[in-house]
Amino acid sequence: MYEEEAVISARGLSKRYGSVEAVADVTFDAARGRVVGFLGPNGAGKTTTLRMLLGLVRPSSGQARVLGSPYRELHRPLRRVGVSVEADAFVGGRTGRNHLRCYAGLAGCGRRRVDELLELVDLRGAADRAVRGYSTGMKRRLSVATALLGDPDALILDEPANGLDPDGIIWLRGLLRDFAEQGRTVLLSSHLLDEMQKIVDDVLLVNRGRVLHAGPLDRLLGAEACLVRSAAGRQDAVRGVVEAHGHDRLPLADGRLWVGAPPREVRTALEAQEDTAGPVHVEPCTLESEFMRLTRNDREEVAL
Amino acid sequence: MTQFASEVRKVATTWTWWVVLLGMVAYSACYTAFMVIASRLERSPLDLGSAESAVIVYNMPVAIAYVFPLAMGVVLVTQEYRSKLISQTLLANPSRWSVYGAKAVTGLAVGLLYGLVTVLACTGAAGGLLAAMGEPAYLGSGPVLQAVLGSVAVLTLWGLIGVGVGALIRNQLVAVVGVVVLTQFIEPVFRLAGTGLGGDDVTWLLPGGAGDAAAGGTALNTMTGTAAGGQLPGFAMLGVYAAVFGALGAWRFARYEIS
Repeated sequence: MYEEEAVISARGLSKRYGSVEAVADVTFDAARGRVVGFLGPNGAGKTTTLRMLLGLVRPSSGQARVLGSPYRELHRPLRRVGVSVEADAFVGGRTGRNHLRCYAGLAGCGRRRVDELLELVDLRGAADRAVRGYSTGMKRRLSVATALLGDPDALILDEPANGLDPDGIIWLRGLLRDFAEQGRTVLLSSHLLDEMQKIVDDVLLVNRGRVLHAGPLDRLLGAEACLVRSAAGRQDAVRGVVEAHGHDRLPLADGRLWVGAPPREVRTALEAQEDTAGPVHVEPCTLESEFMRLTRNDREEVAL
Repeated sequence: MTQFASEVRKVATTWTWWVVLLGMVAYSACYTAFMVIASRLERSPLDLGSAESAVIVYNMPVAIAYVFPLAMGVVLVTQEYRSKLISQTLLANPSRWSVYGAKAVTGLAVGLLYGLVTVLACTGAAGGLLAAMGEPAYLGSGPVLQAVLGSVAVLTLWGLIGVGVGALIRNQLVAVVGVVVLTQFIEPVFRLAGTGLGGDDVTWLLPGGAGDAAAGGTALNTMTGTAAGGQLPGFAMLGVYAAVFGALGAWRFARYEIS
């Protein structure tokens, strides 16, 4: 997929639970210096895929490699890969600082690094309080701090932005961008699509255990498609115009119409038929619209 | 070694370990004091007239409190599943054998610490009370010394058994309630029934019975009228339980999928 050497890679990764195929033939690469967004509806197989990448769940078939070898064969893995997959996993009675210290030794770092990280995630004031009393956002930040303990080359984060307030989200965005700009790699999952559109370079979109898109965000949002927002009651008329021009089209759940043609072309066609189609807004595709379109398309194929 | 340090830190950074230790010491010491004082009652069946018979008051920790290191060993494993921190632990060290091994050693260490503190407290209580009442305490005698050392060893092994049980069951509530019911109710009933059925010479083969034997016989033997069996065979038997539970736990721990 990329010319650069892959930091995280999956080849034909599959997992069956009895007759349920949770993950089927997932193949992708995450390259150096990239932020990769791992997207998909709930139950799409994201968490299972991440767990197979990390050697927590055995794949039924296929291979996963992190920094060139299976995760379980990495020596001192915390120094290579920082992970946050259970962002709520804490012993309530333990303090934030002690939580970090429980893993600091295995990450090869000492007290000073723990202090640095508490500062970085803005938990210095709460460091000696029991995690039980932390807000969701504080727990997320502590989980990110745990991932950063060993100053790793790659980060794998499952829903790191959940429960963060707007400041927290902006902070996380900056942190991940800096991390990638140093030539390191981030793989993160999230449902916050607008946020993901701001920070990811590449998108791995899965649905029902299968990959729908694996590649650069620009390619997914390419200039060869657009969204049309029309006045109430005019949707059918707009669709008729688009159909008459022979363009691919798909109505989205929010009432907009996805059209598989460049925005300028679509705008010209619709403006020429303004009597029937009414006033329209032609917008570039977004990660959200592509997510809806691809996962919905996928569902319809099943229905047939 | 790093993993062991991590496990010790996990134990030391919660309140559980010392609340359980405090409970164990208080419970054992109170019962020990009660036994010593009760032995002075005119109608008491207890006769502390010789070093051999005095062992019973020195062995109260093993008789009633071995469930504490056992439960703590269980919690060493189950707490990580309950809090879901097991993912973090296995990501930090993907070698499950190494993680389990560190937990097993930590279980032994916790058992040893609990055993030492509790046995010291109870030996002090029993010896002090006996001396205060003007009775011989037999503190330096062979049987009492062997009982005290045996008690510490037994309580240490129970910590390891707990780690094995925790890895086999994983659900903290089920495991802790299970060990309490098994050790405090079911096994004593079996031992009583064993005596009734004339099997009193084999009840020391049960885990609690083996522990009692290894400590040199406890109040449980007196109460159920069962023979204690020898100290060394008892210790060997308990060692077999520790090895079996430890190994089964390791086997299971290495195979779980974390979902």
